[in-house]
Amino acid sequence: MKLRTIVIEDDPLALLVLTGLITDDHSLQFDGSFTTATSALMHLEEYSADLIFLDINLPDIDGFEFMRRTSTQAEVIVVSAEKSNAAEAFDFDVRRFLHKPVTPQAFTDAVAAVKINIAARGASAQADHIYIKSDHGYRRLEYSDLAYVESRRDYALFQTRNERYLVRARMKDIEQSLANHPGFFRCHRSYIINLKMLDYFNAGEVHVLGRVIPMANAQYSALQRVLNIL
Amino acid sequence: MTRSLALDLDTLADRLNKLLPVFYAGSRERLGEFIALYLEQSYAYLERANRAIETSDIQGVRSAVHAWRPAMVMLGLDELYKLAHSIEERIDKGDMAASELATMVNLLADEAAANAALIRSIRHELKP
Repeated sequence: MKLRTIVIEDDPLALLVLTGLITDDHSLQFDGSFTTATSALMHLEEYSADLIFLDINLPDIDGFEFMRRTSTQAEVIVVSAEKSNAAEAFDFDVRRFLHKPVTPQAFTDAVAAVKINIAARGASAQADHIYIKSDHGYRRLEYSDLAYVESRRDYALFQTRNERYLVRARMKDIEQSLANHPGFFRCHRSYIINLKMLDYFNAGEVHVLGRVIPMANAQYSALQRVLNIL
Repeated sequence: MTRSLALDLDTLADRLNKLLPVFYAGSRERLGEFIALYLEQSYAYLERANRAIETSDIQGVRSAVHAWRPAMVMLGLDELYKLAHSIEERIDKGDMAASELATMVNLLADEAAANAALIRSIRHELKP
């Protein structure tokens, strides 16, 4: 699968170089470029990305501020002409720092490092559990025990067979982290359910663990497809 | 007219041949594309620097020159690069009068214009 890649860069020459390198790399899918961090933030509210090439000196907010504000789980490669930006970049857990002008070799090395990290994350996604923040630590939840997740403004309620946990998290991020697990389905903007615990559903609702949960109109046919119903 | 850093066409062609595999994956077409955009953009960098001088925005001058520098490296404009770098260094030291800064940016503009003429000639040769 190709990595959905965006570039946040206001300098046309640097952008030309990066887009050329991205389109040359068949493992990457170029999903667009943004000349301001704000426009990229707006894009990421609606669309996911796997990889971001990020300039630091941008006309609105700088690249570091972008990283503070975004909730994206995409890998970030910082691209800057200022070597002094490298140290701060690594504070944000970016995969790589590319110094301008970017050479094809440095680009290839950085993308390779990103792919290794994504592969490692994918391996952990094959696991049968997740960890959620709880009591100043992290609590393990087995997928087989998780009935549904309910969005409550800036928080998410994780309902297991016997317990419930309220965690500060956004639905979009939870959905992304559960994306590799076909057992989970987002039936409504505020709910992700475990299909293994689905007792009943119709066009307006689903029943999970005795709880009646609303179903979005658009998701009814999607659920039928997922469950292979003719 | 200010002094010229005297880059000639043969020297520039030699440098670009060496830079071709480093920055353009050996593609003359890609180099041609970069040159075309550089010729447009170099005026934009200068305009940014001059606007910043008009408003006494020293960091604005630095930012414009700084953004320009990677392209100079990619085109083998080493002399122009050194000049741009020295402007940044002087700004960072904070010991340059506004008039001196304006003079240095003018020198940069003259050199960039002289280099642009050479780059145009090279680009002409790159055309199929």
